[in-house]
Amino acid sequence: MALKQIKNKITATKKTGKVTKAMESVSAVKMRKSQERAFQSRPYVHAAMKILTRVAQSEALTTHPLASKRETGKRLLVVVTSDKGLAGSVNSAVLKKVEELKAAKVEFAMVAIGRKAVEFAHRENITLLGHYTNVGDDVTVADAYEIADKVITAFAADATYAKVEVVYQNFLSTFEQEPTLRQALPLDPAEVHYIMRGIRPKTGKFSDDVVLPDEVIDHTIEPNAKTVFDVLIPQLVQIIIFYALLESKASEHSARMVAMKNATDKSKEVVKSLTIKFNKARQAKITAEISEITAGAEAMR
Amino acid sequence: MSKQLQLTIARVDSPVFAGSVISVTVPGSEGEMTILANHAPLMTALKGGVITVRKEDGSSEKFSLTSGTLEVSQNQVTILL
Repeated sequence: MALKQIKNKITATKKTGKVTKAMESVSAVKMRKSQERAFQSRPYVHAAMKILTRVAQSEALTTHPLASKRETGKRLLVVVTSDKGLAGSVNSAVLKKVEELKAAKVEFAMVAIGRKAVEFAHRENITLLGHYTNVGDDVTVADAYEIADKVITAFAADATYAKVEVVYQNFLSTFEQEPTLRQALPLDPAEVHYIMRGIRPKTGKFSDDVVLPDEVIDHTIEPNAKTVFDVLIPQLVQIIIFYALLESKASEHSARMVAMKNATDKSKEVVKSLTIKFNKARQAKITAEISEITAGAEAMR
Repeated sequence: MSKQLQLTIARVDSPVFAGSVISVTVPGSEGEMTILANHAPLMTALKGGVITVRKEDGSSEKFSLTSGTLEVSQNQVTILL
């Protein structure tokens, strides 16, 4: 390769390295923010769990239309991915989970959150019940409400769907995320408990455990159990979806951070080997010139 | 000293209030009610309106809500907005 070309390539690689480095720092900040937000909503989930555990035995809960099990029907998957790529295997891991279900001939429809999920559904010809893109980094409760409303309406309307499940990337630590499938409807107290625990990363700033809710107490329920659960269950579904959104954001950012770190390291490596190549080529050129000159001088004699 | 209630008001994205209070007045689905210490275990749906919290030092705080759930037991009050 000519000297000029190598030189251009070194400059280009250095520039790419700078871009990936910047993306890495941005993702690191965003990841911290996502984690903090997830942490902030924990008192709420804790409180909701407390209420739910105290009434879990009540007959009204197990017979409520949104909490009673259905034997037959399709599944409704809420698939949470990111809008943008360049984040390692975050999205593909989630979509793989969906593909597995498809391969197992499970009948399902999808609610896609994030551009990657929408594209996937179109590609695979999966029935889309709804799609949401451009969910901001600061996931708002309103986003979760809208999605939860859609899901609850679809579930409550008739017996088409046996259960509603959320597929998202669970955040374990900066280097470790895990695609997870959670049941949102019919509501299962055990699942809510799992989600409350799930938000807790394995190690680090927010890894302390939460207190377990205490024993069941007989409550006066006013005006009646159905009215209370009509309000409470949608709230819990909103939490489940809100958490899935938060977790998936945290995972996306940490995966992107790691991916960009690898890219930065690689670009440094490439620059190093290109520089060696450049020096060798330059030295070869100088040697060639010198031998030409000496040879020319010899000939003049 | 009068008995106190432990009150937690929480929203999905952030905690709103946590602490001990003398009484809390909420817009229940069947009408407004005030909860004092030693209230019987109760669960109820809330409708839109204003929650008024009275604290021991006589001051009070107000929070507005559109809907929610309230739970009382063993002098612990939990309100989910």
